[in-house]
Amino acid sequence: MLALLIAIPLFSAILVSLIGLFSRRFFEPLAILTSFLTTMLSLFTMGKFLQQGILVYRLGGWQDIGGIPVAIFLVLDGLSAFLLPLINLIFFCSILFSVRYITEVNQKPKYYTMLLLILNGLNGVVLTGDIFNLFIFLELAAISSYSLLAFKLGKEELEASFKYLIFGRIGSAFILLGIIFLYFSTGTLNMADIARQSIPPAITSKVAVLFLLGFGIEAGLFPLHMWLPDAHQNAPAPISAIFSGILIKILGLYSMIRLFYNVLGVTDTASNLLLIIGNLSMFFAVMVALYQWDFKRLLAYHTISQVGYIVVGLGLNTPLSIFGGLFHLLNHSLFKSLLFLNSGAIEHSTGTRDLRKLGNLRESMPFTYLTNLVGSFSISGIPPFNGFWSKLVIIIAALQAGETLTALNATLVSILTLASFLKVLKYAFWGESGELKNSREVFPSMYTPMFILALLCLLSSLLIFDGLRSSVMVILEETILIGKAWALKILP
Amino acid sequence: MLIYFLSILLFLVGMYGILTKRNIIKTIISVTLIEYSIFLLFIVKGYQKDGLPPIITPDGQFNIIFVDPLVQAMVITAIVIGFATTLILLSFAVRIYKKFQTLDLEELKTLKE
Repeated sequence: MLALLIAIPLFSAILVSLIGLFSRRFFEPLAILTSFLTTMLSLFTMGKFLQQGILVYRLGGWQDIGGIPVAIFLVLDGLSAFLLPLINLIFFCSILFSVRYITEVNQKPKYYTMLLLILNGLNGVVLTGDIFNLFIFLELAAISSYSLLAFKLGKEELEASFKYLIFGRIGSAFILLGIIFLYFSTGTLNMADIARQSIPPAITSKVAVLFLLGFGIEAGLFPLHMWLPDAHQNAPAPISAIFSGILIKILGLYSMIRLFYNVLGVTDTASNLLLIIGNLSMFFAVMVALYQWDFKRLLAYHTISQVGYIVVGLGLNTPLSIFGGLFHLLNHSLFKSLLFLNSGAIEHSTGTRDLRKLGNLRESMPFTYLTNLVGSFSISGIPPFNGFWSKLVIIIAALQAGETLTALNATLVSILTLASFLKVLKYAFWGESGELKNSREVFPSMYTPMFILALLCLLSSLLIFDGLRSSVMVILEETILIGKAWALKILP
Repeated sequence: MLIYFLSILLFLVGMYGILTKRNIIKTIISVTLIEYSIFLLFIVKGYQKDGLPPIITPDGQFNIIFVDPLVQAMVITAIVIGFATTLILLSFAVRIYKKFQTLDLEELKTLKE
């Protein structure tokens, strides 16, 4: 079942590209069906986890010899079970949105092939229990995303993609170097097997720095974020939604959480460093976002800023703050994908992303307006939308940990985010229509995914209630906070 | 020991190239150099002098000194990945040259800072 989540998108990607050679009709329903199927399967997998606990699958059926793992592991634990439905759901929404958004009919089979390959890579990264396998799936997702970013082959797209490729490759070189150090000090690539060995602190700190650099580039953390605004601005809107909602979180943050907490064991220095990086990301990105006029570029800077919140949650390293960080990760995936789909709808309908040229879309595009209102309120932290609760949890956790400055910074950034999104609402949806006359609402296949995501933005607020919160926190404590003892659950 | 210095030197040459060169092709070569320096380090650390293939014979004997095959499998996988990304980079270089009529990174800059 775990292998199916990786295999289905892979085979469907091959099928889509093959069918696309001969026919223009069948590949699109196949892509939608695949993402729907994996969404259902991931929900089923989550149910299975809640019933049975951690699942370990040995690829190829190779059993351990004398307690030493031979096969590549697929591991479903609390963190994976929590992220899988999110990944597949956002892919489903983006693929549904792409049906009418992508107008280059001849290129469509390639587009869906790449999209399904990213899905394959991301499901693989989340499920794998082998560190080199994680690297391969990461590269698979990254290579597909480089080519999707340059999909329209315009000047800006090519430049942004070239920039992203150079950054991404240097990042993956650092990750590979870290893996090499780990392999030669432990003699194994299995994460659980590495975690149960004692690695000398000198090696651990070197590897931690290399991983922080490598995955920091993938996650777009503050000093390494230069590729991110260009990439998110120039990709097609559904791809931006996937980039911002899922790709940077899984490739960057998930891998970082898994490797730092479960494999290397997090130290005080590392968590303090994460706290500082998170604070800087939060503050500087929101300051730059304030004076952006391109809707998607503004959203891209907010991505960096909101990822800062998640990193702060991880850096505080208390049970409550990690819950807050992961809660914010979930919420940010939902509302940022929603906002990028909104920007795509606006671009599709009016032909521009420049906020100064837009205006009064409230009347001509009511559905986009409504969903954008939900997304904007969520990201700027207005109750009862989900962004408010996760930010509240992070701020409370910061105060409890005695980090008053972090709490102040988080509050300030939240206010600045509100200011920047009021600007979006004012210029795009309210005010005078200006030069635009003939904008109209987008097709149902485009606003349905936006409504699904907007509804989920409201529904995920429920996680704050006591019963749900405590059960989620127990699962997180059993997967993340136990640290290196995680290995004993995988390899008893 | 010499070979470690060689791989570090390759890494540094690659870094220098990325930081100072403005030509797209030179940048691509520099990135490739960085990757290859890591492969070189990897394969050299995994090499065992006088090592034999790690094969267990039917009578239960196996070679005490053997070359780790996992390292070579990993490096060949990483080389294939590197090949794919280099291919994409070079195809971008062709496209960029067709659109901009230049290979100078400074002259591209259509994007905002």
